[in-house]
Amino acid sequence: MKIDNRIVAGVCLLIVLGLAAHLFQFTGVRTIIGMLLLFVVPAYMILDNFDLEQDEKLFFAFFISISLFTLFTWYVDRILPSLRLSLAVSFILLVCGGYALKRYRKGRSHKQLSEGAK
Amino acid sequence: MNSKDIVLITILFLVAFSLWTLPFQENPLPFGEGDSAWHFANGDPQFINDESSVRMPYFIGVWYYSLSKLGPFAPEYPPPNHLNYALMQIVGGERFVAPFIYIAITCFLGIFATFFLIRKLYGSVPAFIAGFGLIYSVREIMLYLWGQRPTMVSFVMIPMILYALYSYVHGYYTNKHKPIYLYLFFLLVAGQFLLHIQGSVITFLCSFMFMIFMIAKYRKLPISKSNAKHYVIGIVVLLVLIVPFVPIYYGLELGEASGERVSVTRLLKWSVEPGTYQGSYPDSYVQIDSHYHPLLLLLVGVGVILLLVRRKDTDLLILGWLAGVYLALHFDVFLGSSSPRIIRMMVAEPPLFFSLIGIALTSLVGFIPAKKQLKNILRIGVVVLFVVFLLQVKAPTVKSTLSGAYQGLSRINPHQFEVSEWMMENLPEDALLYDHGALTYPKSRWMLVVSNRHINKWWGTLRNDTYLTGPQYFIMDYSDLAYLQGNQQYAQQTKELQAFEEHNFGNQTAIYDKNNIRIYEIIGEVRDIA
Repeated sequence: MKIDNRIVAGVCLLIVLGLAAHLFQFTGVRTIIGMLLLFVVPAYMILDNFDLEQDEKLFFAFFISISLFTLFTWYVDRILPSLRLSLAVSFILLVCGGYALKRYRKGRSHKQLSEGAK
Repeated sequence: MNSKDIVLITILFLVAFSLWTLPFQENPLPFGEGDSAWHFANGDPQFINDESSVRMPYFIGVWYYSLSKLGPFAPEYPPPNHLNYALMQIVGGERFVAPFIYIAITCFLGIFATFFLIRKLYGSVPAFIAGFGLIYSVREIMLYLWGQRPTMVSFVMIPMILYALYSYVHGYYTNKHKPIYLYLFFLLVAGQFLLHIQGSVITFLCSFMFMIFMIAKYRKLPISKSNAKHYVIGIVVLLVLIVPFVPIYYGLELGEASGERVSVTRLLKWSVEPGTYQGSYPDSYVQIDSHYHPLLLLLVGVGVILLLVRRKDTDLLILGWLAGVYLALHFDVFLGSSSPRIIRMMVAEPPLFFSLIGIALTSLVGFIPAKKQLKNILRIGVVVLFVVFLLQVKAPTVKSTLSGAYQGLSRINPHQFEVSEWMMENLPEDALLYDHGALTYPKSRWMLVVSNRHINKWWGTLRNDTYLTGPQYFIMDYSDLAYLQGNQQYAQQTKELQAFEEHNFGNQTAIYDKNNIRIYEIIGEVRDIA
């Protein structure tokens, strides 16, 4: 995504949040941000490691997460004593998982490059 | 995705969000038919108890006590759909508006899934036409309002799944093989199955038909030694995700699922025969001419012809989608499925039809012998015309339907809401209540949701099922009738209700008495006055 696209996306998001605030006050804003955080961010972090276009990562992340992020939280909640805690832990685990995958793939490609140079 | 697409998506979202949330912009109390209350009731306790559920709580479990072969209180849906309500309550910090925002958004997600698919395959102009048309699709709006919301969320995933499949198979045949799309396909299929099994039926048929078309075109299977391992891993992942929850669907006794096979002449018609679905859906939901202006239907036909003539891989995907939906809508011929069951799947049709309309409109512009620049201007003109057309033809009805949905006394009123909250705090969890006086059945069910206590509408007899463990109570509810005293019929109904109360509870003191609502503990028999 080019930098100007990011600005456009940011402005558009602000407009959406503005409408949510206008119609449903703080609850509307919290819900929209919450949906984006839970249903886009973790899966996007994981999909960001694959050869997909920007819009594909965003859309696939959302549509996979509305079912599978929730399922993951449900499984975590089998272990932990609180749904709120399970939600937070699931979010952190998946975001960290995506980050770790990125580090791993980066490390592997560096290794392959250096082996190729030798 | 460029800036133009981001702006188009934002426009679609802003219009859809401001329109589809109309039912609860002024009145934040929950709405829908009995089904919607049942679904909401499955999510809400998970938020209240701060614990996701593996079994249904008592107050929902005794609703359809013996529906599941897995036994009483066994879940009737996999976790995601209902747990999502609870997650939205947590992130929204509120019990009703937050999940209803989620419900509205997920019910209109088909707009964005379709926009995404068509933009990737045909460009932004037909994608915007398809997406904008879906904002005003009454069939989706009806299911959203009535409350078959898990079905909706499952169906909106179909275009995304088809795109993942297309990207993989097309890539395979054109030597740009990317296994990630195959994994995404299996993940989406698993996700859809866990939301609602009915969407999976359409996905299977559409995917199957697309594969048949592609194999026929390339005369080669999209599987070889090099990619077999990806299929195997993908299927294993799919099974790991769904198998633990398959018994939930298997266990349900769905009486309306089977009927008699109908005549093969039905194959020449798109919709089920009128008169075969009384009591389940109105004609306005089923009949095709209620949803599409004849001009739009003509464009659907033009779209199909264009695809049949052109037969590019992208076209074969849309044709596979069409063939899959067609097969599903004719299960009454092939499998003897009942009309009400088939009708639910008709919600798969609008994304397909509006995609065909978008493709037809932009393709027709392509046939005009003009310079590219002029064609681009014409395409924008077509979009403007289409938008104006929909705003003239569909928008007024859709807006009044949404803004008028469950308003006034057809929705739980503030007094009923207040007494329900009182019940939640003051009555035992296994209490059973009868509601006499609320105007409609769904209102009693929404009181059940708010109170997290089982409430039946009073049908003239007490329940004596052996599985009912708790004390029973009776709600004398005049809160609706109090608004209708100018009407002779309701004034008479109020008198009858008062007589009933005097006859059965004349010697008792109400444990709740506020806002024209009283609650009594049931000690002896309760009978209607002959």
